[in-house]
Amino acid sequence: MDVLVPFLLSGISVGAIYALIALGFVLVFKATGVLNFAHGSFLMLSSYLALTFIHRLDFSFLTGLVVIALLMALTGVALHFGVMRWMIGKAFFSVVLVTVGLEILIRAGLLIGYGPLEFGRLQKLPAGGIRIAGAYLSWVDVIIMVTAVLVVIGFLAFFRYSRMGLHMRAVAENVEAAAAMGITPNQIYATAWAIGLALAGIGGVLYSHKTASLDLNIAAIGMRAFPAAILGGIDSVQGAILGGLIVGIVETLGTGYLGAQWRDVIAFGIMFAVLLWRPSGLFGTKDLVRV
Amino acid sequence: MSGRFTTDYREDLRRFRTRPQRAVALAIVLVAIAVPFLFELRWRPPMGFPWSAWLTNINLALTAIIGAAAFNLLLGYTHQISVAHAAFLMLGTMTSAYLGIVIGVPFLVVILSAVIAGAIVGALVALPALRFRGLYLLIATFGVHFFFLFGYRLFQVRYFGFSGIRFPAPELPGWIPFLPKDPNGSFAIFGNFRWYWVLLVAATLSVWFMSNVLRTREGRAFRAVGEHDVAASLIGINVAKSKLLAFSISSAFVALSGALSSYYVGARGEDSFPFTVVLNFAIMIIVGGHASMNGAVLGALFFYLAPPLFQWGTVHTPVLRDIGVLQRYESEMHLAIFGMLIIIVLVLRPSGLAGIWNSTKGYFARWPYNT
Repeated sequence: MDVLVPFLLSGISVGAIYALIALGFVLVFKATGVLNFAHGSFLMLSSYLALTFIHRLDFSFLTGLVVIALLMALTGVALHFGVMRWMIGKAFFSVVLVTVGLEILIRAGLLIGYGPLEFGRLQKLPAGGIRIAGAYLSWVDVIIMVTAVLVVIGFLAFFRYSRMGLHMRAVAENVEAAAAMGITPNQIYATAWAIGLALAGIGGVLYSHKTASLDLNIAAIGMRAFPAAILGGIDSVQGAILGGLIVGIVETLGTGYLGAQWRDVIAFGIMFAVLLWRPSGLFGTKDLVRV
Repeated sequence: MSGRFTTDYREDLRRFRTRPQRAVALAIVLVAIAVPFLFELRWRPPMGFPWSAWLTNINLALTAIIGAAAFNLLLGYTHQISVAHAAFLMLGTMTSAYLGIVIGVPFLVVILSAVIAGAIVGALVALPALRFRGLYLLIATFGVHFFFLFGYRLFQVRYFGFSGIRFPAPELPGWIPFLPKDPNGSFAIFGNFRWYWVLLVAATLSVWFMSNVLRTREGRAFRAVGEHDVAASLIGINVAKSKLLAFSISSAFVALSGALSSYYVGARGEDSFPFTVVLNFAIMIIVGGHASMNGAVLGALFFYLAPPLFQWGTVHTPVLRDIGVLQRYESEMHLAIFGMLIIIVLVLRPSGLAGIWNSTKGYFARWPYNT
């Protein structure tokens, strides 16, 4: 029992980051229909940017977070108007492969900019921690959880109450009807990419403080978004958050009790089980085609 | 308007229907036979072109052709978005390692077993495919990849230790005709020259088999299921059987490709099968041209033959030679060029290299009535 609580707390912290990543991923998918295989790479990119801004240029954590989120949002806009706009209407797998091409580009760029060696964890957040229920919770984890909660609440408020959020939901439901109402789809897609990548950016900055080593394997962490999004339902925003938390907790508990090499298998095992039992996930819309 | 016009049914049923097609096939055969002898010439081409190093890449490309053609069968024709490709490469490697090294079975039997194992396991992996379509199949097979990776690592550590699997040079038995025999009576396959012939025969037979499958009734069923599986079931095609068959045949050849490339490269480790392998094959068939065997072959050749060309180009061409960034970060720039090329091909010319080939052929076929 005394091992369970620390794992649980660490799992919640990891799950919070996964929730952010999955949220960005699902948002992009829901609004544009693009399965962004490069999502993990954007996470990695923002972790490396955190290295430059927060560590080398010595920005404060908050400033760095905001700057990087803005940078990633701009990248999202540029990405839509530069590349994804031409792929609207083309075959699904072709669009996925464009994101694969992006992933390769980002990896090459990071190799050129930063080199192949790994860096250590960023130390900007205060060390030490507090004791809850007999278990030790580091300040890093606390700050990660608090930031994630604030960002998610902010995003949900935006999505539910703002005009732009309303437009996004309209486009996600029926593009043509939304266009007939005077909403410009291109703007909505660009906004979706911007917010999705900004969420990945925030996740990346948080992760750069928690990870054991900052290297090119972080992109694989970003692919955890897949199981989280599937569990929650690939077109459900609330589902992504819940899915991320569950995957984070189960994965940490599983690797804690069984060993580190089970990490991938557990995450994808969850995904496979969900797909077999209920493909639309916890909150997604059911797709009823049986042949 | 591709210039392939036939005048009666008998001609239409043939594999190479028109005279030009037969001429092109003959030309390709002659070039394929001449290639390894050209590379043996030790000719020093101008500007330091890496002539002799190309044979290695060509051999790798030949193994990839088998894999790419199989991938194309599944993805391009039957539209089953399966990314379990690397899983079957791993299966081929494991089967050949177990039978060939641990037990010590002759090479031909090992290869055949890899094909059969691929077919059986492919049918098993196809079972989820009967339930999922499109996006969910992609994600389910994404999970299959990681399961196989886990199993492969367990297998490797159990039988071979952490340092990886080392494949010895295989031997073909002496009773096969046309083979020069070594002193011990069999034909040891080592060295690029000998491997070229083995791989050429394997690749030709595989691609021929697969393109012939597409000309049969089952092959047409694949295409129908790929276009629209609900409609296919309405006209009486057994969709489940077609999907199982497509997965089975495709996986058999991917396992073959995995076994051959493992023997050729000689060593496989824990990190030999990252997910990027699947993405590489996807790049091959997309850049080569979606849904055409030509495309798979051209794409695989491009994927392996272009990097040395890039490398040679950046080092030796007068203008590019002086750009410092290109020199210092060679391999990263290749990666970046690949990434950009994928995006450019997909956005601007989705029909890929095979599309370029077809339009060129069409241009000459229609000349002088081109628009």
